[in-house]
Amino acid sequence: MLGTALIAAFLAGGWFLVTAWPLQLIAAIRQKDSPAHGIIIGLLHIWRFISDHPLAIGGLTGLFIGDFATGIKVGALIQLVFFGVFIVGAAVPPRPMVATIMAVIFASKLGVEHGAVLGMAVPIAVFSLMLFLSNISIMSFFYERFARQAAKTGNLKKLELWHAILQPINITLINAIPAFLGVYFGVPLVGKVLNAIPAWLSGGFGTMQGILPVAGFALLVYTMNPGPMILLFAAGYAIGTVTQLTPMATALVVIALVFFYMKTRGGQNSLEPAMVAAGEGVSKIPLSFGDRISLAWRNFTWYYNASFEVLGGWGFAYQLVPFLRRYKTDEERAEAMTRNIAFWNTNVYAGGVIPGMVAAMEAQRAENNEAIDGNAIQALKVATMGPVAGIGDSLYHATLVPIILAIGTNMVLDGNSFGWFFSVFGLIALFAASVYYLVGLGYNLGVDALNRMRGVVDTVAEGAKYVGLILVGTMVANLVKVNLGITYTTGEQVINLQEILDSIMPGLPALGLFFLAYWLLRKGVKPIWLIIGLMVIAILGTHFGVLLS
Amino acid sequence: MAIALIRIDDRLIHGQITTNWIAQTNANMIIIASDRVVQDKVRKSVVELTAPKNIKTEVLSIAEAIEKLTGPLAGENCRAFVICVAPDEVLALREGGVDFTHVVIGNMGSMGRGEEAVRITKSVMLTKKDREDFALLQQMGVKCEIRVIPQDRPIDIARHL
Repeated sequence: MLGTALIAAFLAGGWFLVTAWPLQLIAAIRQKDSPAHGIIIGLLHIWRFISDHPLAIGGLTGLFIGDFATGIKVGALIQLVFFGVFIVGAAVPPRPMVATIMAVIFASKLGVEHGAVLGMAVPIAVFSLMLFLSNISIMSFFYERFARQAAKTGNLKKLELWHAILQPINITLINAIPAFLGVYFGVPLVGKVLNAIPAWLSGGFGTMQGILPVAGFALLVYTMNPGPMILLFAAGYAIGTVTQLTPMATALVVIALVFFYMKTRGGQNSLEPAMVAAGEGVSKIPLSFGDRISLAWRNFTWYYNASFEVLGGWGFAYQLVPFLRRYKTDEERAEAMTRNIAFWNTNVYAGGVIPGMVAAMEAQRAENNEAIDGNAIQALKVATMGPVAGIGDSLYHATLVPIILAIGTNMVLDGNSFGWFFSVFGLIALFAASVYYLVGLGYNLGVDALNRMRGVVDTVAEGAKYVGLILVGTMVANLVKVNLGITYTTGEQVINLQEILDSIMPGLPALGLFFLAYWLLRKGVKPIWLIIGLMVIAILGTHFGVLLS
Repeated sequence: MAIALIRIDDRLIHGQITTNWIAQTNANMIIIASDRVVQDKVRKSVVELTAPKNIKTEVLSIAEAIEKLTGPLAGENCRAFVICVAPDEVLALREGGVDFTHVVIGNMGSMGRGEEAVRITKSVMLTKKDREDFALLQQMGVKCEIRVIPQDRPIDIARHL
C-alpha cells in the first residue's frame, strides 16, 4: 500500500518537486531563462492546470497504477459532476483533483462499484477546497515578508527566488500529503466500510451514478447564461435520445452546423471601429522569442503564492522579472516592483494579453524614464484586469474548456479511451497557444490588442456557446439515467409510469430533473447543496423504490 | 427603466457578473455609472471594447446616468444592471433622484485609490470616506450588502461601519 500511496502523492503534486521546481530555481539563481528551459517549465505548469480536471488526472492515475481503463472511467464519471465548476473571481469551488486520484485507486484496488467512489469524491473535493483556502490565508505572511520587502529595496532576485521556492508549499503540502494519507489509511478503511454498507445504500450509489451528472451539466448550462437559447439544449437533448451517433460524430455535426450558421450571418457582425486611445502601450523595442517564451510560461504561475491581499500580485511581478531586470538602478527597480506586486486578478488564459502590454511599457520605461509614466502602467492594469477576466471566464471556463472535456468524457464513457488523449492534448494545445499568442499580441499592439481579441471572442464565444448547449443536451440524454419505479394497477392492467413517459419522449424524467436543477441554480442555490440534494434523492428514492438503479 | 440591481464593483464587468449576476437578475443592459471611468480614457475604451456582445452596455457619467434612470425612458422594457466604482457614486445617484433601496457590493478598494483603506472582507476595502458614504446611504433607507456572487450569503455593511 505504501507504493500506491506514494504514487498518489506523486501525482497530486509531488511531481512538481522533482520537475518544475528545480527548473524554476535554476532560472532564478542564474537570473536568466533560455527558451528551451521555458518551454519545458511552461508545459509542466499547463499540466498542473489540466490536472485539476477529473478526466485528465483520473487517466494519468490509471496509467501509473496500471489500470488505465478504470482510471479514465472513474475520472470521466467524476468529471460529469464537476463540469461547470470553476473559479469565478473570488468564488472558489470544490477541488476534485485529489478526490479523483483517491477514487481511481479505491475503484481499482478494492473493485468498488463506481457509483460508490463517486459518493466519496464530493466530500473529499470540499475538504481540498478548505485546505486551499487556508493556504491562501497563510500566504499573506510570506507576501509581506518577501515580496514587499524585496520590492522596497529593489531586490529583484529575492522576489524571483522566493516565489520559485515557495510554490511547492501550495502544490505539495495541500495536495500531495492528503493524497498520501488518504490512500495509505483510506484503502483498508474504505474496504471495511464498503463491506458493511447495507444493500439499500449500495443500490442508492448505483442510482447516484445516473443522476449526479445532472448537477455538473446544470451548472455548466447556467454559467453559459443561455437565456432563450436554452432551446438549443432541448434540441440537443432530443437529438441525443433518438440518434445513435458516436460522441465525436455528434460533435463534428454540431460544430459544422454552428460554423455554417455563424458564416452565413457573418455580414451583420461587423465591428464598430474601436475607440481605443491609439498607441497606448505600444512598444518600439521588439520582443525577442526568448522573452516571449518567458512571459508565456511565467503567466501560469500567477496564483501559486496567492494571498487574499493581492491575489496574483506576486506572480505578476515574477512574470515581468525579465523586463524589470532592464532597469539600471535599484531605485528604479524598487519603484517598478512596488507597482507590479499590487493587486492582480484576472483569467489566466485570456489575461496573458495584459502582462504583454505591461512588459512593453516597462521595457520602454527602462530605456527612457521620460517615455512612459509609471502611473499610466498601473492605470492600464486596473482598467483591463476586470473586463479581460469577463471575456476569459466566459470564453474559456464556460465554453471552450468544457466542450473539449465534454467530447473526451463522452467518448470515454462510450468505451473509447482515445477520448482521454483528445481532451488532455486538446487542452494543452489550447492553453499553450492562447497564452503564447496573447502575450505577444499585447506586447506588439498595446491596448489595441483588445480590439483584435474582441473580434475573435465575439464569434468564437458565441459559436462555442451554441455548440456547447447542443452537445450538453445530447450528453444529458445519453449519460443521465433516471428510472422511475412507480407503477399502478387499474383493473387487470399494470401501468408503468416510466413506459408512458418514454412513449412521449425517451428519458423525460432526466430532462425534468435537469430543468429542476437549472431552475434551482437560477434561484441562487449553491452548487454544493444541489450535489448533496441529488445524492440524498438517489439514496432515498432507491430505498423507497421510486427510483431504480 | 427598471433597475435590476445596483452593484459597487471596481473591476467593472468581469466573470462574476457575466457568468452569474446577469442571469440571476434578468438584466438586459449594463450601465456603468461612474465619473471616474468616464474621465479615464483608457479605462472607458477598454470597458466598451470588452463588454459582452449579447447585452447592451453604456458607460455614463453620474449626471447622464441619473437622467437615463429617472428620465422619460422610465417604463421602457429595460432592466439595467448598474455598476458604480465606489459608494460616493451610488450616493450621488440616490441624491439625484434615482429610486432604489438595495445595493450589492462586489469588489472594491483592492486596486488602491491613493488613500488608506482597511480590509473588511476578502473582496472589500473601505476608506474613511467610504464608511461615511455608506452611513449616509443607510440613513436614506438603502440597504448595502456585500455579496460577491449570488450564491454567497449577503453581509450587511452596517456591521462594519
